[in-house]
Amino acid sequence: MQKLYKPLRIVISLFTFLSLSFIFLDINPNTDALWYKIITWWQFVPSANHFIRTAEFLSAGFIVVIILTLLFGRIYCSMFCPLGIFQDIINFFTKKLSKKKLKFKYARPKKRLQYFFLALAVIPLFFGSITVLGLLDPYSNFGRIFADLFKPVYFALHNLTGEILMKMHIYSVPTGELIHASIESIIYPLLILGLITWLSIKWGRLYCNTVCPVGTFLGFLSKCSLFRIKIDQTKCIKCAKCSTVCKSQCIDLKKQELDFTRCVGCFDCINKCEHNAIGFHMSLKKKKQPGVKINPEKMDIPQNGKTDLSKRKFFGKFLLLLSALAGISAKSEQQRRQRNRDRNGMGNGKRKGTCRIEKQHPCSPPGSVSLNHFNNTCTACNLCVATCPGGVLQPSFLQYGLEGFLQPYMDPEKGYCSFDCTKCSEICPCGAILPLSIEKKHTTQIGIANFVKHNCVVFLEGTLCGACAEHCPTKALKMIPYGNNLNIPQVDSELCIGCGACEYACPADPKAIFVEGNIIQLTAKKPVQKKQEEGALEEFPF
Amino acid sequence: MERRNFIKKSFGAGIAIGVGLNTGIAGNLSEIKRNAYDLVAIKGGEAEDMFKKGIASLGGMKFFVKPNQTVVVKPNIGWDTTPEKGADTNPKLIYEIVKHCYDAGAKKVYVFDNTCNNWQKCYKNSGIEDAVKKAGGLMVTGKDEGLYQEVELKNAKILSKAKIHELILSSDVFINVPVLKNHNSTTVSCAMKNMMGTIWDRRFYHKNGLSQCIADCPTYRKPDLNIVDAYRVMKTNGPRGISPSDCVIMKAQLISTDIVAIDTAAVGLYGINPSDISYLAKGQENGLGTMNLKSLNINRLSI
Repeated sequence: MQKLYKPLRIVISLFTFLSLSFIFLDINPNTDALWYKIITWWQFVPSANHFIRTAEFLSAGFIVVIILTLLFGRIYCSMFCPLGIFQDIINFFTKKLSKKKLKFKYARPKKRLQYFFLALAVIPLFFGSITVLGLLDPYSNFGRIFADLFKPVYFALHNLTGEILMKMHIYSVPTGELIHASIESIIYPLLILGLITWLSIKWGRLYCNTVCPVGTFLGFLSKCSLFRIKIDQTKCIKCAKCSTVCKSQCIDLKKQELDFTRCVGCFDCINKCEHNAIGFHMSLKKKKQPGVKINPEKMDIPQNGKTDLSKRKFFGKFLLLLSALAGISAKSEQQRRQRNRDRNGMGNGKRKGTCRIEKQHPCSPPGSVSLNHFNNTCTACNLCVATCPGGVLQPSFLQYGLEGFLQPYMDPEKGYCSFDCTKCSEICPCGAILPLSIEKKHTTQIGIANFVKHNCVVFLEGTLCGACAEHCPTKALKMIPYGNNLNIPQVDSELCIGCGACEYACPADPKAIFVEGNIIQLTAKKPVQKKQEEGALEEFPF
Repeated sequence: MERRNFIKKSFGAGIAIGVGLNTGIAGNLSEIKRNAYDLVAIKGGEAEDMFKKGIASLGGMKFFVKPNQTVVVKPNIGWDTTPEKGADTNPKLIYEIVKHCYDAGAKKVYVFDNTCNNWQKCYKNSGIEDAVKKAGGLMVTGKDEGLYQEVELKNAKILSKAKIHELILSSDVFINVPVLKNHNSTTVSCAMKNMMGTIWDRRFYHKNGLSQCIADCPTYRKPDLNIVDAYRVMKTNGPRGISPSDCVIMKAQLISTDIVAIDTAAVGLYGINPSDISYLAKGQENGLGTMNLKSLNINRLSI
């Protein structure tokens, strides 16, 4: 029975991992949103966040996680946390590939660092900012890695397969347009991917037991778990086999004890033990913890120098990461300005007489209420980015400023918001984008189009165009007579919903039409519909 | 009363026999006189019935599709809307066309469009994907640049080079099936405008003179057959439309091999003077067909 826990854990974790990978990599825009909801329902941070913001009971998956933790310890970290499972998978394959046997050994808990990161994530919440929590949250990090890094690769491979088949006139694998995030917005996920890989190979679940705020929180809860892994001191021969496979590095053989607050419930140790000395048992009685008293004296002093060093190393690297990010962001902001200037004909632009465009605010996705609500709720898991059929949702860099770091924004250079699509609002796991009915979506104004006549093809070239009005789903953009059999666009800002189709379609460079984001999403007027008179043909006119 | 009924009935029967004889003769002679009609116009029925009747009067699909040939059908699937909004070609018509092609012995029938909205959503919500699959045809993406090959358009004035979908280049038969509808820049969108969806770079059109590019595109390969769906005609807010109330139920259809003639007739159905639509004259200038409907042998049918 005891040996069955590990296979069970592997089955559940693979199921979680594959299903989450599926929703992040899925390229079919017609997949039902319900699957997304079910699959992300367990995720702790998004679910808790959603519940707190909307008090919707259906989003309360995190309560189940809390109950599970109170019963069985941090099994969430091994079975439901995609980043945790991802680390296990990295570990599994490095073990398979490397010739040297990877072994873990007991390490002291890095309590101070743990509390530091927890405080870093939680304190800003009281000031309404979720940014740091989002940057540390395991699910969101997993999401960013998959949506921004893996999906384009997967998509490219899919396209390659499709193209090879098409050469043979088989059209069953339809290729699609590869849209990927901007370079600066994938720096952070790239660094996290590197960090996670490095940490997991070297120290197992160090990220989970030091940086991850969810791990720390569930660790607190696991102090009063009903079931726990315990070492039977009468059976244990101190062979240390369990300790070498423990990726949480929490089995202290000297004292024959296991730090359950750090145990992620992978059950590897149980299967490794040949003497059945370690097992998962119910423990109703509150045990006195002999370790607590001895801990500071016995543990701190002998290992002091060692641990401080690794702590310092780790700390140093993380700070380096943060400062590098800050540096890069400043640099790229500068570059963006320069680029804008170039593109808009201010620098050495090609066309004369054109106007530069400067946007004050980007558009947040429809259903996100306001920039304020969105920036304060979104953990930037980028599920919507991965799913958006129009490719318009892209991870931002500093478009929202620092408080919206990496959060998705509408990028009309990549696509535009499909009129009859409410996908992002249906799947958002954390309540940043609230559900919209299709009728509501049709009038949700996320921004307003601005027409710049001096950049327009009709004005500059004197030919027909109307690409913008063609794409406008509400006819907020109308073509009005402009002499010489020409028409020129005109925006009715009361009808405009800011979908960005006009900006995307505009062939001019710099764009002759652009969408300025609304700080608070408003309701646009419904387009007036005139009923056409009877049209059945009575007589052919020729 | 009975007498009157009798007279009515016999009168009707007489006409029926006459029509029957007529089509019978046409059927016999059609082998020789394949292009007896330059244009067939049908009105008053459902899209699929009008097509059946119209194509039969031209001698059936077998005159356009020979056994073992590959066919590409190019409807308008540009917008992610439902059929009752009239922005895309009627799926029932597409079903019937694909079926007719297979009945004529076609090896494979492909259907695609370079859509404006997300192509998977367009294909699905327009109902065309389901219709094509039901008829045994194959839907192919139009959103992959790798499928487009650059060719030179020698007779074009502006669009001298373009990337055209390989199915248009490689298929034996090319059937163009536009929907007649309003368009905010060119006023009317129909057969020639529908060819824009066979080209990769749509923005080039808008940037470099829309009307001329529309007239230039078919100079590389003219469709072997054009079928204009004017069952549901969008009269305002085109080309995308806002709601079904933008459309009138015209219940008409045109079939022709002449892309300029069919567009001229379609513009007539729409209720506009053909001389107001600049790409028609440009098309005629490019030698794609004639705007002079009076010179054509037109078969007018009603259901």
